[in-house]
Amino acid sequence: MPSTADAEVLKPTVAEPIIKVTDIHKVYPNGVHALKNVSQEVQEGEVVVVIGPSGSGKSTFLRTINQLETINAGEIVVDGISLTTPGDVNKLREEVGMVFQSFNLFPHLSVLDNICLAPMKVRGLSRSDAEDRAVELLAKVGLSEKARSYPPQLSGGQQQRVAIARALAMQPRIMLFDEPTSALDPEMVGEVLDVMKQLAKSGMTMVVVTHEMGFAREVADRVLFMESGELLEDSCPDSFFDRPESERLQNFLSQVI
Amino acid sequence: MGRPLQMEKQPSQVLWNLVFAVLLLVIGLGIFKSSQSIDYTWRWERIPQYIVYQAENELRAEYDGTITANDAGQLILTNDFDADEQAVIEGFSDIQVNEGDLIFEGDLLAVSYEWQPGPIANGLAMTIKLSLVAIVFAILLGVISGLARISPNPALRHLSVLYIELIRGTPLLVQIFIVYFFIGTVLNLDRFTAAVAALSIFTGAYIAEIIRAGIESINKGQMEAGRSLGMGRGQTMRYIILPQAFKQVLPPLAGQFINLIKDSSLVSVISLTDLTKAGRETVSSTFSPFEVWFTVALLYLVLTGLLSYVVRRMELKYAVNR
Repeated sequence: MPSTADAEVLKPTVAEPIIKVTDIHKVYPNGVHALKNVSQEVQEGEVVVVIGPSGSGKSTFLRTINQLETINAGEIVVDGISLTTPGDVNKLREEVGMVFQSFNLFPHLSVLDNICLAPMKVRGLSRSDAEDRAVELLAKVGLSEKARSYPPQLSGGQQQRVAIARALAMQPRIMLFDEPTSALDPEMVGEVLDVMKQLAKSGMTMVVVTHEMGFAREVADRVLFMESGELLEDSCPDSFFDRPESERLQNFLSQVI
Repeated sequence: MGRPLQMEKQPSQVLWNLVFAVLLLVIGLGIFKSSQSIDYTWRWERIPQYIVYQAENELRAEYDGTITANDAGQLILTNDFDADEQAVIEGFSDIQVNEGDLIFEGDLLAVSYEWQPGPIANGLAMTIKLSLVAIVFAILLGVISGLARISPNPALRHLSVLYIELIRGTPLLVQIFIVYFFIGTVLNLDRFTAAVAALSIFTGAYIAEIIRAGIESINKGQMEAGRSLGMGRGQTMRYIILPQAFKQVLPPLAGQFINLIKDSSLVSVISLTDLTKAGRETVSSTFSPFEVWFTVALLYLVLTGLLSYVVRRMELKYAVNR
């Protein structure tokens, strides 16, 4: 039996996964069984891409991680906080940023205020501190000159980059991307993916639901395949795309590539 | 250049505007003719004095005396029997005496004229005051019960539905009677408070539904985005949903305020002298019902028109960023 001193030494090498999902089920009120017995672990700094046909439950899976969807069975532990025990869900969401398919920027606020709002109201930052952070993030996503614009004045790609900056302004430990490029015109997909690649390089823990196979192959540490609520494949990009094990993934890949 | 080219034949602007003018003329003529046929004498000249009139303020001598002038040119009335008792005649526009005049007690010394609001103007002021106070409380009540209506808490939700259904299902006139005669008696409310209470409770129920619809018209993604950033439900409501819903609800809200101004005419049943009650009183002293009711209608129209104008300006102001 190891002493407590030994346990402390072991800690850095055997790290707890930052997201641990165990046997979760989700049944919508209309009877659709969206998630069936899904288990998954994501380590800190890992980039995990989830792929699958529409209606496969991949977005639902992503949304359970910050409890935009509740689960019917199983357990989710994020950053040491169990989502099945009642508690402060806002505390958890402060650490989990999310980027939506439809951007969901606040149309009545300027780009700068979109980014500053949550850090000021939730983290208690002063306006000047929040603006400094926002300006820095806008520079990172290449939109410094748009700080005073309003979301409806921006292109889709620009809006999505602002949405990423808005999520990052909370300095989350995990970023969730729910089909971030699906609502974009083709010529704008690249600019958003570039920002995401840059973020992945900086060591951010990311879970990305997407149809961009190129992005998955290039950036992901692991790729997951989901179909009809089940997690069918979990492997590194090379074996995922070149040596797919399940037959359904082979079919899926032959249709999309 | 000029008119846009289009295939479909458009109605002639000049012709149909002319038709509209002719129709107005015919209607006006019809009203004039029909009033002639019932042998009604129009006396519009009687009406203005019920809106504003010049009140005479008379100064009469309180004792026998003599008028003298002081250095400043003011006239002074000095008591003939007691030289210490003096009164300066000042502040009057029309002085009726001159220096050296002998004055007896009760004589008219000076008159001033002052514009005073007549009963119709007083009624109008009451209607404005009543509507403004009721609008403030109606908004408060409406926002609170509108938010309660969509609350996840069943007690709040059911309470709000009960309130809205009760109020929308009964006539305002009956509500005014209940508030004044029942609640007013129990809580010892005066007429004005009772009227404000009845009007704001009534309007609040409609505003609640407008607010609810406004909030529900905002994309669900906005709430999710706010929540995903760690903001609470209340914070997201306050900073994200409500500011956007506000713009959506302005037009229906304006309609509701206009209704409130018009509905305020019903409070005359509890003897509150608003514009309508003032109109009734004026009719009974002038015997000119047509003129009075047309005047009253015009004043309501001015009030509601002004309100529409203000709201339209607000809509434009908040539409800038879209």
